[in-house]
Amino acid sequence: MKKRSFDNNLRIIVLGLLILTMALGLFACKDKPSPSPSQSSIPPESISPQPSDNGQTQEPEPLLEYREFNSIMLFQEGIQVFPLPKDAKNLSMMAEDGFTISFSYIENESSLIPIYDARSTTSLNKPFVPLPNLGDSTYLVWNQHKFYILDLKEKSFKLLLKDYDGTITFKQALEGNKANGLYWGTKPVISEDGKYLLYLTNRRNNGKTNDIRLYDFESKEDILLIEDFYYTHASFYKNTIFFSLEDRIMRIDLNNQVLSPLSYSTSVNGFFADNYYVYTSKYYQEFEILNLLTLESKSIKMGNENSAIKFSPNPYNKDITSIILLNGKKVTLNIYKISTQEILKTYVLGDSFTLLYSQWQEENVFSLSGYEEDINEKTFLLTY
Amino acid sequence: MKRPSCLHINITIILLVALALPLLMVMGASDYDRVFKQEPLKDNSFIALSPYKSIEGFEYWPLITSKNNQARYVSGTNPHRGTDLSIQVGELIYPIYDGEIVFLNQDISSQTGQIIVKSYVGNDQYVYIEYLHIAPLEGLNLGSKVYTSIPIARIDTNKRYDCHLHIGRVDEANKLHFQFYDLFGSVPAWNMGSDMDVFSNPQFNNQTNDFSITAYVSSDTDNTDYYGGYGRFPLEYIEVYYSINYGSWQKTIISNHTNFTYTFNFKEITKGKSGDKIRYYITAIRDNDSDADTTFKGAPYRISYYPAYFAHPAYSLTYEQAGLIALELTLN
Repeated sequence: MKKRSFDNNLRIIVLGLLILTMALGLFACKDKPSPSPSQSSIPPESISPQPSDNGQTQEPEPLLEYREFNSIMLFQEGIQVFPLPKDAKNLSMMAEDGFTISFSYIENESSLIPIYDARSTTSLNKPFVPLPNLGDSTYLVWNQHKFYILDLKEKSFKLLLKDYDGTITFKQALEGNKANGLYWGTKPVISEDGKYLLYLTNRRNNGKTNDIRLYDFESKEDILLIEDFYYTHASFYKNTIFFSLEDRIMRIDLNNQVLSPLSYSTSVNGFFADNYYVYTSKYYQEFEILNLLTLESKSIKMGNENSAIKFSPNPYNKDITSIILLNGKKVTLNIYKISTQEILKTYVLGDSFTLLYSQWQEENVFSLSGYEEDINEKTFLLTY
Repeated sequence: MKRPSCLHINITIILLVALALPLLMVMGASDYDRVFKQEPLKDNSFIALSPYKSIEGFEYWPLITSKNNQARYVSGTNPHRGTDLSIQVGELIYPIYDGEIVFLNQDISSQTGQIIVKSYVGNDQYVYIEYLHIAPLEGLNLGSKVYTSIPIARIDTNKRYDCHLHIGRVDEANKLHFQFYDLFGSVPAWNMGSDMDVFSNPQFNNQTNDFSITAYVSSDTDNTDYYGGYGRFPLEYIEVYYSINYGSWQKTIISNHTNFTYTFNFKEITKGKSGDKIRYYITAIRDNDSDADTTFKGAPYRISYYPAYFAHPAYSLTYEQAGLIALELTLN
């Protein structure tokens, strides 16, 4: 009997320990990432522009419409800013609150262009935003907390927003404000006519909530538009501001400052182009073009199920965007007309390109910079 | 025959489990205790890009509110396992290398949405980069290939924490956290990567025996004299622990630094001689009486170790614990 009792206990103990071990094992395995295959390294092909045919493959045209450089290149306002031009000059400026910036700038015809060199700056953390309405050498500077106006011709660098907005001062907003920090103003969006600055701030509630505000460059009015909202993308279109908020698009009527949602589910992985919102909620192969006025939507497919979609909207012509398909190291560029849903030009960049930068140098010149075979710096200038 | 009673069986099980528990706890603790691994990449030939940038690819450099391995003002004793970047709600986050998603938590109800991307970084090396407190974008799944030029997530709203990106390099099992400074060693805006970790860029000259290491904390201080409430703050001091030829452990305190870099000569501080084997580790003692770094006023726990290793490092390590983390060099 004793032996049987011992056997029973032993079985139960062993079983118990087994269950414990399994439970511990399962617990330990929870959230464990799975391994993944390595990347391929297929020899590169030369770049080959292809005529538009809604993504259908055709014989390449003669290689006349692109230029190739063996370096990484960056452009700002159509001017090459990286590598830094030899005639660039250096300047340091301090605003009234002590914020000091050091940067290079270049002369271009009658204007002066400050350069944001991300890989050498110690004082800036965002690029300059041109304010052509205020002057041909005038820029908005935004750091982690505030906006400043830089006038390179006048050599002035001043705070844009007042330190007191009628309800709170900068110092008051900082009190008890931990971790998130204070954004007196951030995420600037300039209206097409240059009259307004749309921005986010968390100053009203010590960093815990966000408000959308509108600054009028002419009247200097700083209006609280919408409380307790934020945006990922925002855009002016006539008297309306559209903005993306998680899976929604919201609109603000500037005439009466009324906020209303569009009854359409979208994704923040997209961009505004006048009265269109172009986005992908699939990440691969498929994207949507939503007409913000009629709510008509068109679904477009490009490439194959492994083609990740990268948008590069054209700032000079909002009806044009680049849609870059990335499939491993195979890069395909489609120049796309949004209103007519038409591919204007296709370029295939070989099978071994790692994309770093993609930007419009001019209205009809698109620049792609990156590495071929992981090590060779390369920039392509492509036209349509 | 008398059958064994349930009570009898239960008591036996409880006793045995009670006896086994300490063993299980010790075994579990030995895994749990180690959360850091100090092992820089060999020849980091692939450039890590900022996770925060414009649609064109212009990199932004957000301020850092808490470094990897940084002591935190909490009642516990766990240094921060990752680096916090102050990025506003809704902003898009990009992978710092091309790669493949190997872990994905799309549940953002507790602000713990998370993605881990496995990336090849040259030299037969893979890294696993963790992105936390985010809302992963639609369409992404385990195994999805992701690219530095396409966003993978947006910064989540404030549910439990102030909005920020927690980023770090982890191991395949997401248990060990590596130092992060070596991935951004060419970024001046992040102090050549030193903003990412409490300790960075250790250098030993085996001819002169000179040693230098950069060490400081980054904070979200309440001190409004600091612009926007952020800053890089010096430690109160560092302690260099050393053992000569596997003898007992001794220590030296060093307070002087130049731009947060502490420099000393191992032969001088140890009074060792050429050929001596020196085992060493270093502690960073955060200043809890600083008028600048005010968030840490009176904090009870303020220590970080180099090399980082333990989840809950004590103020003084046992001989065995010290042996686990110690590095070794030979005096010239």
